[in-house]
Amino acid sequence: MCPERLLRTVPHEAENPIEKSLREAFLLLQDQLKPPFPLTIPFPPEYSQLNHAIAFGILAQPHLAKVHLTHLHSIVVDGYEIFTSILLKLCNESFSRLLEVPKCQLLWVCSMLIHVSAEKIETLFISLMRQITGGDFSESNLWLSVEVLKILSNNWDWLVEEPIVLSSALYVYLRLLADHFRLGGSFKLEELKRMEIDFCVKALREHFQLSMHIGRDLVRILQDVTYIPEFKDIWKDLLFDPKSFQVSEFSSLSNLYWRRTPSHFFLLRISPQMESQLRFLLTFVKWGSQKRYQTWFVKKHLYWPGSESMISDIVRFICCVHHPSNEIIHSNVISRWAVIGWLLKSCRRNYYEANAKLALFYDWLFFDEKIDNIMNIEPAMLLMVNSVPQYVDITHMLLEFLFLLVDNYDVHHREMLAGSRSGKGSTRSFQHYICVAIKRLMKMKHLLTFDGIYDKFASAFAKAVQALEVGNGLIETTVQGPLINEAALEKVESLVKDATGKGADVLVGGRRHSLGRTFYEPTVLGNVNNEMLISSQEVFGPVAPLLRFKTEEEAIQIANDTNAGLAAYIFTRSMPRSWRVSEALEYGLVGVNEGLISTEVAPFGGFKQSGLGREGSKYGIDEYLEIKIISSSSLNLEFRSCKRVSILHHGFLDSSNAISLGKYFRIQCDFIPPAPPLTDPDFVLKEHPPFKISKCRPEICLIHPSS
Amino acid sequence: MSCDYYIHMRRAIQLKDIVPAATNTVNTQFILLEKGSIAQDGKEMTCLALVADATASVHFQMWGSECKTFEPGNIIHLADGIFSYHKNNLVLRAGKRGKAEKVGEFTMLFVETPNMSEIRGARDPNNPKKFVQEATVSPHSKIFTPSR
Repeated sequence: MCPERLLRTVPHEAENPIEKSLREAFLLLQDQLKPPFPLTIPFPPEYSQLNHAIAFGILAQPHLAKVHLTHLHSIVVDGYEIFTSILLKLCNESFSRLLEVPKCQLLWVCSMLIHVSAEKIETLFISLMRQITGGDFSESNLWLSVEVLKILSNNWDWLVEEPIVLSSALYVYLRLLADHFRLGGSFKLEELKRMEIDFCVKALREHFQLSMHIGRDLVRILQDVTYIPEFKDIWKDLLFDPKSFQVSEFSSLSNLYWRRTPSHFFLLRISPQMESQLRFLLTFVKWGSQKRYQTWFVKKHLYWPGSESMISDIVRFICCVHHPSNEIIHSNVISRWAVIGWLLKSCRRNYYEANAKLALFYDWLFFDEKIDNIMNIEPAMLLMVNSVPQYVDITHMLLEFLFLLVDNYDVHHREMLAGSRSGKGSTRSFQHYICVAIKRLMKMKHLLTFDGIYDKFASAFAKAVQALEVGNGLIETTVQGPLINEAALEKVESLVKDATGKGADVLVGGRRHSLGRTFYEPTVLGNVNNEMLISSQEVFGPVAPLLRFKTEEEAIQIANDTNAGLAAYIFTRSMPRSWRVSEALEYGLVGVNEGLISTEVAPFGGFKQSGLGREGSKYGIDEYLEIKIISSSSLNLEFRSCKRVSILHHGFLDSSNAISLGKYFRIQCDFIPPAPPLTDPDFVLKEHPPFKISKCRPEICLIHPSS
Repeated sequence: MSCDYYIHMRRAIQLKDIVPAATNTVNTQFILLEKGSIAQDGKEMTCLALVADATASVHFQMWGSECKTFEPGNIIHLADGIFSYHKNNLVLRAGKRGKAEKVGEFTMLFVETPNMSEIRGARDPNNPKKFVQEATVSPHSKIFTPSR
């Protein structure tokens, strides 16, 4: 009798090794699977084989399943550990390919295993829950959702003894409700929603202590369902009547905020296959090679409408679960922040994008160095910092979101959040990491902003500058120290006064700092124009003037309208524009989308009053050379009588040039190699341009007739 | 003799080491990067694909039911395949005696250069069975240009 298949067969696909081992065991031991069962306990290798055979029988033969199960009960010696391990492996690796009958059987046997308290049954249920895909409203996915929930709802006694399963199930079904509730329609779906609501409400109301294990992410996912009446009431009680939950440790919502969510919760909404693909991407794929993998990932996991709902879960996974080793961070494997940037860009709808950004910044809000991990907040920080030259709009977008979040997230507990100086939590770290990003922007002395984005930029920039910490330079978190002396301070003050007198706005700062002495507040001046002294004089202080412009020509004209000309920077995405503008700018150094532009191997120097000549590189050596001309006449005749000429090497002549010279004069030339330099023996002039005889500098010092 | 054949058959090679030959002895594993369009060749469907492993890429000619089954991202094991000229293109294919099977997806590293199908060679004059690489027509596939 040919046994049934467990997994869907696809042409040209190798046989699944798990199914193969199960079937082979079944075929081998078929006869032993019929009653009466032998009473002897088999030895370990046979025991494992028998487990495999029974597993296959239960999954493939529903009409004989009970018989197989009884057999299993009678031979078990390891608390069903091998048996659940087999099912766990099948579930983790091939669940989506299971045929209908084996799938039903799998769920049936899992529910049976609860009653015998099988080893690792809780892990098996977690694995089953991971197979419920987020944002997926297909029949099979909803069916799985219902069936698992039915089993859990029928086994509350067991659930209460398994806090991890209970809290995990709560996390899963709250997330699923957020997707399901928005979809109206079929009767089955209504039934599912009702079951989900009842389950979650029961977990929260009657077993809040266990639900609390989720930690602060419980608040995040609860907020997505507060429009459901039952959860609205729960939210109200969490805020205003915490005692109603009857848990002594819970006296205020802040108790939840200060609990970091254990990382295993973030695996719940990612399928094992998605997890292995993401981990592979972040462990092995090099910068530049990620495009194909990203396309395949989207095609497999993010292609149907509604699948975007998983993006916030994936972001949470990447930030909080997958922490690459130092070795990987320093290798050229693609970084987490880049993958997150790609995921954020893949969001089409605002709702999902906002959720994804919240998932990215959630740990920033309540960061406590004692319990939180810096690796959780590193991707967001790096994404903002690394977007600055080329994708400034991403940094702005994220900063804007962050400021909005800090201002509006849970107004009742505002004092706990970052941003407010008196609050506990991530104030210091938050500001420190923002400052790294701002530092790059602040390097620009004049910020010419395109009129269209002026307001947006000005407000975001002003907000960022406000967060800069001023103080003693020896303290780690200080970004800005004092000015050099009183005269510098007075100069800054006079320039700011002149600007404001002529119509500039002070967006931030604009006065001496409360720390006194020579401290000045970081200042942003808006609506500056060329009339004001500040746009043509060097400030040497923490003042960033913003000037508007409407066209490229206007920008160039404003930039060139000064008698200084050392360094300029432009930010643009257009390649032709970058060439046009950088050539038109009368500056010795031009940075395009880049803030760090000086290096000793490139010529450093300015136009106009910024100085003459260049430092560094081969052009810098010119200042140390003397050019000499030697004019000679009436030598030709004498040359023709010469038979040999010795040419002493000097300056830019070398042996090949000497030979050319000889050819010109049609006489044999010997080349005398240079004497060692008298001054610096280590100095070697590496470059000398090859030149033809017509262009030679007459640095021939000695041409004499030889005998 | 037969055990030599067995060993020869079993040895898996990397794509950088394949040489054009009339024998179906290529045992290798690669990941499918891109599929071309499906065409008809008489009664059968054909489809050209760009495949690669960690050492090189090559053009893989799919035949019949392979065309609809294999998708970009699939990791494929090829047994007894053949790497030879087929209608003026140098391609790797399963052929009549070979078998291509999907064994996984996504989790394999690859490089797109060199492309073994874009290397022209000639028979070694001393050993007519040996092929010698002469010139590289292109470092990347000219059919599946690298995505920017």
